[in-house]
Amino acid sequence: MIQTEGLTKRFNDFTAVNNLSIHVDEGEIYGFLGPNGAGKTTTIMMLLGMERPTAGRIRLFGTDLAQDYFAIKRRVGVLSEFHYLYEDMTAKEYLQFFAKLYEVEQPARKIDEVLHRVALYNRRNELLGGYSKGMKQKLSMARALVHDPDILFLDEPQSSLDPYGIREVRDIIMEENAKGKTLFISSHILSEIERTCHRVGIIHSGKLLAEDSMEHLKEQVTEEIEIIVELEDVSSAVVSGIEELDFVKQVDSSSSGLRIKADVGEDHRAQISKTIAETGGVVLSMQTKELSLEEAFVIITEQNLSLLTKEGQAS
Amino acid sequence: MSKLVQKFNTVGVITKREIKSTIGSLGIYAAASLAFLVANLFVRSNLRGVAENGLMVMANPLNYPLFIAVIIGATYLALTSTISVSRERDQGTLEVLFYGPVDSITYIAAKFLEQLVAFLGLIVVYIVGFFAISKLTNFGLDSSFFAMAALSILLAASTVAFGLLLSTITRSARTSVIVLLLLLTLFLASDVVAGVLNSMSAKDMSVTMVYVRVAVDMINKGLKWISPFAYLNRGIAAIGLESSKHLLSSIGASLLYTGVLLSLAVYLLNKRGVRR
Amino acid sequence: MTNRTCLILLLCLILVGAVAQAAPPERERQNVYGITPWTGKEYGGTFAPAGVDKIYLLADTDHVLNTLETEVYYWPITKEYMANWFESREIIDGKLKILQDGKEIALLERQPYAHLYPQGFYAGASELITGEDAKRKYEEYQNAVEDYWEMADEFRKTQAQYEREMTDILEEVMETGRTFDEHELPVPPKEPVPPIWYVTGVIESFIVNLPAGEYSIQTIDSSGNLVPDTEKKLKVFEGRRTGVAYQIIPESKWTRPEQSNDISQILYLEGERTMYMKAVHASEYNQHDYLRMTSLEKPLAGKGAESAYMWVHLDEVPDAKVQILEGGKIVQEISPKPYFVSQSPGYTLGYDIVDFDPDAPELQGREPSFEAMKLQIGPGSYQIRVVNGDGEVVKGSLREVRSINTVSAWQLYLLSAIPAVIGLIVVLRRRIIRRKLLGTTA
Repeated sequence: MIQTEGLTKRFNDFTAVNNLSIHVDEGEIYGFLGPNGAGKTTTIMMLLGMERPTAGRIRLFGTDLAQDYFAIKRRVGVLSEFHYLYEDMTAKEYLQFFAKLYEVEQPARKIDEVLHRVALYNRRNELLGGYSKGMKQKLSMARALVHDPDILFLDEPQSSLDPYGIREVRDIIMEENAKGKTLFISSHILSEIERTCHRVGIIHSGKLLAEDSMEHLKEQVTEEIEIIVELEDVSSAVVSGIEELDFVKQVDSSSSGLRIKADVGEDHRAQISKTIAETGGVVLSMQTKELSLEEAFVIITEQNLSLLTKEGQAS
Repeated sequence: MSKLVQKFNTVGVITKREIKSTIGSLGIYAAASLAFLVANLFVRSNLRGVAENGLMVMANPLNYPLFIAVIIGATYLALTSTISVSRERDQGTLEVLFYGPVDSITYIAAKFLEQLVAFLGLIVVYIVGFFAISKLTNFGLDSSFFAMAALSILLAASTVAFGLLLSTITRSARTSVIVLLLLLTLFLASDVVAGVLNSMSAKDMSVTMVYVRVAVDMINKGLKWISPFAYLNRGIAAIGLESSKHLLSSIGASLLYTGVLLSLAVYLLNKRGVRR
Repeated sequence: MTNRTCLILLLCLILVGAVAQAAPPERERQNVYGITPWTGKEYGGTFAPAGVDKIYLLADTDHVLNTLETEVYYWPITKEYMANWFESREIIDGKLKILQDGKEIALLERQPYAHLYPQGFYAGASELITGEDAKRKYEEYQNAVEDYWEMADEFRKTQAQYEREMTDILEEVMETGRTFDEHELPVPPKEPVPPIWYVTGVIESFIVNLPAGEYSIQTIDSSGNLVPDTEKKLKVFEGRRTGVAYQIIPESKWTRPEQSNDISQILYLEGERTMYMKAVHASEYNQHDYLRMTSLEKPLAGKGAESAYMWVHLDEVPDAKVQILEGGKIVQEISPKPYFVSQSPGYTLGYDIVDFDPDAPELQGREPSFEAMKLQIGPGSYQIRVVNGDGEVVKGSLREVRSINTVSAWQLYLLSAIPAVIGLIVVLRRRIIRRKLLGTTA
């Protein structure tokens, strides 16, 4: 659905996006991550045809955007980070305008539907000048949905919302995805990306550092795992027994249990459990601490930058 | 649906919204009133002239007042065109529009069309108003009046294109207005200074001043190709001459000017981008 | 560059300018064309110096061109070339070759010509007479002048005889007291009238008469060589329109006559007005071409007027009468009459325009101030037109006459305010609706 090849954007001497090649499949929710100034918005602007690439190709729905600009743009919905509205209009008038622009069939029904979805139906006749920031964001979402697009570009879709709003937007994302729509989400709320996205791409200084599913991405950046074991009683025999295991790198003991750092790869829980029992210990609980997306993001963008670059960007 | 139909829809929808916005704001009504007010000063002057002399021979006593009204209307349009793109960029709504099926060509075309429709509305109001003035005073309206009214649409096209070009160049609505006012002052000053120098007798001028006069005259002639208002003057002169050749060439020049400026506006909007 | 340097440079420039202006113009011997063009109403006079490469003439009428060598200088104050005709004027022998599209269409030889002024040198336009007619007419004129001088001589002698006889009679009366009957008195001689018409001396020049078009001319000497500086372009042009122009003298301001040159120029009146009109034939010419034709020696003449047209008033429409029409019907027909402008005595400094009656004692020995058709028109809408001696309407003479209505300023300004009032209503209504919507839950 979304495909770029060698996408590059230079502003004089500054390269905002450098040889970016991404691929988003139909029905996929794609998270686009990167620190501020990484080139996310420039990429989205190029994908929407609002910035002309210095080099590279963009294909939406398998077609070059320039080839069928209007037809493609009609199938794309965009929610931007900032919510610029015609403040002299009501929500209904605003959506009517965009419905006409997109030539939506049965616009009145569709407008009512999206207003219900963003919980603004009861305030549809109010002037937008009086809307709060959160309401404006919801209306922008309604605008992005009014023509039932096949691809939704969401730039920070939950940034100004309260927890209820965040949940509403999350629900909309999931509903749209359930309908088979493709979503391209750029967000700083990594937990939301983690909850909703099938795949993520991480961009830094214009370069795509990683693009994969959540699990693979975490695996890729994790060099050791941490296993936290709660014991009835911590003895030196148990600690020594664990330390002797060949996959164990480090053991920290406390009064309540052990914090074991081990090699990644296999599931070591059975072996640990067995060793503890053999050394006279009683396991109360055991859990493997997984790397969060946020941690993976930090690792990828800051700590493991050189490693990942070496392994091949955007593997 | 063909690409052209899609583009027409975009232009139509944006134009309608803009027209609705124009009709709902006081500016255009105030411009029409101001135009009539100033035009009526000239009508009054003609009436006084007839009363004082007992007799005055005039070809088209309402043509010059119409010309003044057209200039005021076109200046208003130049002003609104000048801020139209930059204001929308300032407010961020331009970017939002371009998320949808809108590109630089359709956007500039819509803005252009909206201003032109607004001017057509003004012209209709002018015609009705001057018809009333004609009835009130018994000053005649002839075909040249209507030809001038029709031709003024070309002036409007030129001034709107000029305003849109400025609007795409400048970064904010305020800068746009300042640049427009500076340019209008330059056009006016150049015309006045050239007029004054040309009207002076060579006997009263030193050689230096003669050189200054030649230089100012050349600058003024150059500016006349840049100033949109000069195109109406050419057209009106052609109507006065009853020369279809001159009329056609002035229409051609006006259309060419408009086309070039609109193309430049599209190019610059593409280059400058739509984001804040 | 410092301000002081700038100031010094500016002063030097001004000084140079002043010196240049004060210097006497440079004189140069040039081959020129002396031109006597027919301007539509009279014969004018101009010349084409070496610096002017195009000559302009009216189509289908005789013009006089002469190839001359003279002293030429440029006079910057009036921005024109001047020729020192009085000290230097030499005719260059040769023929005038006329070419069109590079092909020779005529090779003219000089022929004799003269100007005949039927109404006298200072009254009316001259007629160009050429060839034998010119010589004959000039001879006739010379004979008429000689006859006049002979008659004048005879008159002087007879007058002297008469005066002597009268002196004798007077002396006799004084001495004897005798009275004389009228028939006994000598009859006074009648003073001869000099010829009013005038004919200029016959000279030889090229007489050019061409249809409209672009040409070139050159003077070829007796050896068939081109005379330097005589190759010029020639534009022969014709009027765009012809019609009747009105010269209108309002009774209230007779010193400020108005003109109506074409059908679009409406006569606007206020109340009941009296005006005096003359109808003249008029032709409309390209202003640039016309001004170049009449003032070729002025390089700036006609500049910037390439697209403009001007009406040139020609001769009066003979035996003209003005008809006034109201609703398409003739309501009045007016013939021209002589009028006299009588200044009011005293401090009032006014005047009255009265019918000129040569027999009236107060107008004895006076001439009419002007001759015109007097129109008295009341409020309303009319049309006027001119009919000739045969009662035919002269083409292009129709004009509209309209009385303006009395309109007070407030009526016009009220009209101006209407759009703003509508705008205010629209905007206020919109604001009220918007205010209701703002913060209102549907």
